[in-house]
Amino acid sequence: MDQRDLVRRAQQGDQDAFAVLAGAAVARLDAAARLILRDSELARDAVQDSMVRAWRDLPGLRDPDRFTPWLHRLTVNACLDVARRRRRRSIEVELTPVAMPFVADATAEFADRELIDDALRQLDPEFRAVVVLHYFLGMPLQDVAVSMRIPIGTVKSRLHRALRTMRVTLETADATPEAVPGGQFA
Amino acid sequence: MNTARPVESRLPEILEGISAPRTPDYFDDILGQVSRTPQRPGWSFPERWLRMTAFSERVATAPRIPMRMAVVLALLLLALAVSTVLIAGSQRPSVPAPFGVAGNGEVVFADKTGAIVAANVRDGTTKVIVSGPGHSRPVFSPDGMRVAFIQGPGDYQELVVSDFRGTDPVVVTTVGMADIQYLGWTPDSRRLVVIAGDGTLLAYDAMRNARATTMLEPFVDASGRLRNGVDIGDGYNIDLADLFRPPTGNEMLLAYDGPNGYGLYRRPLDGSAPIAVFTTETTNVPLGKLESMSWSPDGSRIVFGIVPPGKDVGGRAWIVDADGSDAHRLTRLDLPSQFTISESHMAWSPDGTRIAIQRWIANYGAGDAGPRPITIADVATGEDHEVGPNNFNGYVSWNWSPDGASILEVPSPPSDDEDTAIIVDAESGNVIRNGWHAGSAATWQRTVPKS
Repeated sequence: MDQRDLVRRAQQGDQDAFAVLAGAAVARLDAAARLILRDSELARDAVQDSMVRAWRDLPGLRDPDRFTPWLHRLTVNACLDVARRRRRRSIEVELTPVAMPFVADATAEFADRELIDDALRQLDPEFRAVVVLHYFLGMPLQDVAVSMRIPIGTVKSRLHRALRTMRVTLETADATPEAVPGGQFA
Repeated sequence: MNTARPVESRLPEILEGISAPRTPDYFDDILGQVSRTPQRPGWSFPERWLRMTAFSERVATAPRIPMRMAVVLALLLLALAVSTVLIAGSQRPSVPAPFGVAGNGEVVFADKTGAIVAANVRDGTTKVIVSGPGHSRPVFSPDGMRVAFIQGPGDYQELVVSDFRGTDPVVVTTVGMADIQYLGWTPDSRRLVVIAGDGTLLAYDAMRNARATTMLEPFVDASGRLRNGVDIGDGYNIDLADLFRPPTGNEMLLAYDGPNGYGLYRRPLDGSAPIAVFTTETTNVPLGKLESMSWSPDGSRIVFGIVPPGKDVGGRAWIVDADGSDAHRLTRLDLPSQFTISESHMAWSPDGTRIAIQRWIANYGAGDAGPRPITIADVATGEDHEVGPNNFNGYVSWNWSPDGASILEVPSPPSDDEDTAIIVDAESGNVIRNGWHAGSAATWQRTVPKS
């Protein structure tokens, strides 16, 4: 049974069909939420909230083929809601380290991974969300804009700023200083 | 460090490694919650049975008025118009015209504490006109008499209008809004127009607290293209007044998938059908996305951006007469194929002879996004020149001075001038730095020009 059929069945109240859909998506959604929120417990809250909301509102989804981006949107918005609530309440949440990779890495790649991890921590959740949606979940920029309800230009500028932070972090760690790319052209 | 490939090309695998996706141990809890949660019935979602655009595209109708009363009313209006002209002709106007060249008044911005600050351009001094915290993105009305600004955090924002001294503030929104995208004034300075977080264009009475009128519901198709709506591009303070046709503001611009194909349309505000200007029926130019559309100060021409189909970047500025004739690219710049030229945020100079552009020249293969300084193009010749500093991440806001001699910029961080409002001479590029610490967009007051 393909995803479209599963979505249609779930829209009619079939919980088993929804379990299949959710099971196929939950690993990446959980990973995306941890990347955005940098906290496993908060990520759990966000994913649970988005999944329950997806089940509740699924009958309103007009195009079954849009199920996956729709679910991504719900999850990212749930993450941003969690982040906003956390900011409002001024609760200091300990940043738990995310899972280590399954496979062994070349030393240089592993070092880069740690540096990018550090650079991601420096970004606001809204910036991390753009990076995660585009580079981790593979969403086109236009869809990112629609999902986050921000103009495409804002998506681009957030992405640009996030990438710049990462480049600078990588370059700072490099033994040979380089000119900062991206900012100057002529 | 692994420098063989640019960071963006390695990011997917790096993020994969950092997050190590796996089925979480709480998945069964989710299914348990789902089993206890009822679904909302499909019919409870209004868009399933009625397109939301039906609300915004309803043709306005007026109540019938008896003929005799209409004649009397017409005579009264004529008398009123004549007396108004006589009075206006005998006195110096107290406010400038909403379009064209005006005098330079004060610059207003929100500082980092959330206060609204007025700055004197002549001596650089500043004074707080609305104390913080919590205020942002002030925009002067076209007549220079009032300032609109946002009050509150991103998930509960109110629109406030005060006079230009910051006194007599009125909250004009009845409920808080989430993530206001853009705001501006109608040309008559009587209404505020806002693009809400979901892309809906709303209008508020600038005089009182009242419910908004929905002017446009966006419609995005499955491919993500906006089929009915307004795409301004990025930036925080692009003035939505540019959408309304001078001098009366009785038409607005929109991207629309209408009877003449997809493209640029003029939409009369009386509710009559949109008028095609530049569409897939009238041009062979591939129209992916239209953005940053803006009327010339005299209401005769339109500048807008065309992004190629399937692309997010690479939009070029085009110009067209209001009747759809003489459409052509605004600038002449062409570069080898490894470079992507993106032009956005086109803004007409107050005299209508020049258009300022935010331009990026990217070489993505080399990891260079390539922002450029503000570029000013001559409308008649298409020649352009750059002015002011080159900021790494573009601008939070930029707009022309009312006299058209300079440009007010707030560069985005990271930049040497980040979070400050600077003034750049539109010809020489000389920069005036007064140390105005702007936390968000800046706006320049229009005043009556000195004769």
